[in-house]
Amino acid sequence: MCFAFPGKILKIEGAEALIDYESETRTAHVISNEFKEGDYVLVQGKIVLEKIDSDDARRWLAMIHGRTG
Amino acid sequence: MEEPVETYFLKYAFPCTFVIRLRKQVDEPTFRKLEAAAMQGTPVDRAILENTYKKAFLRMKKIASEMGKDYWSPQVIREYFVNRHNAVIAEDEGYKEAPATLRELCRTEHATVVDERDGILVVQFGENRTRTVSKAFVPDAKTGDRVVIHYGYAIEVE
Repeated sequence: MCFAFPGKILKIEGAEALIDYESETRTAHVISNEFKEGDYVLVQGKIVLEKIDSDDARRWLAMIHGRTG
Repeated sequence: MEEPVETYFLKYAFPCTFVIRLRKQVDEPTFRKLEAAAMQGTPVDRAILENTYKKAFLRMKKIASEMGKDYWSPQVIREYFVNRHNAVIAEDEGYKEAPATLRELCRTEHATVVDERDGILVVQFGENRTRTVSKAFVPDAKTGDRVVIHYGYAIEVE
């Protein structure tokens, strides 16, 4: 994806993470040690940029997928 | 090499097209076209840009008449995105419904590069806030440079 999207880290193996975007799962590069499984993160251009608040991330994903409330 | 003003506009405008798409104010084909153009630095027809970013152009036209310039000039574009855009986000009804993270990302900030690696920059702004952003638009940026950040990108070096 070419601009930042929220997703949940399902698994980290070395420098790669499996990210759950609800509609799909995709891999992204992890370039820092600060992330762990279960974290909600911002991913852009296949790079995990930073961790984001989980409530915010869930609301954001709901917005993206057209769910209200 | 002078970059076309349409490209400059799109560098600032594209990251928030996400929000316009959520409001269903842009269709998928136009969105994909804008995305490709923003990533590759290719210019897009002014008519398409003005039709997609209607609110931005309304505001830019006002700024243009304040500044006595053509609204399609880099100075007007910069004035809007760097100095006025954040106030718009604070007041806009649509943004109020968005999660705080998204609203924050849509702001432009003046930031200093504190680290760079692997296609990203770590920047510091505000009161000791740090964010990781893409280097795609500023490939030559380095530690110590001042940049304008918007969404997940450093848009330009100041």
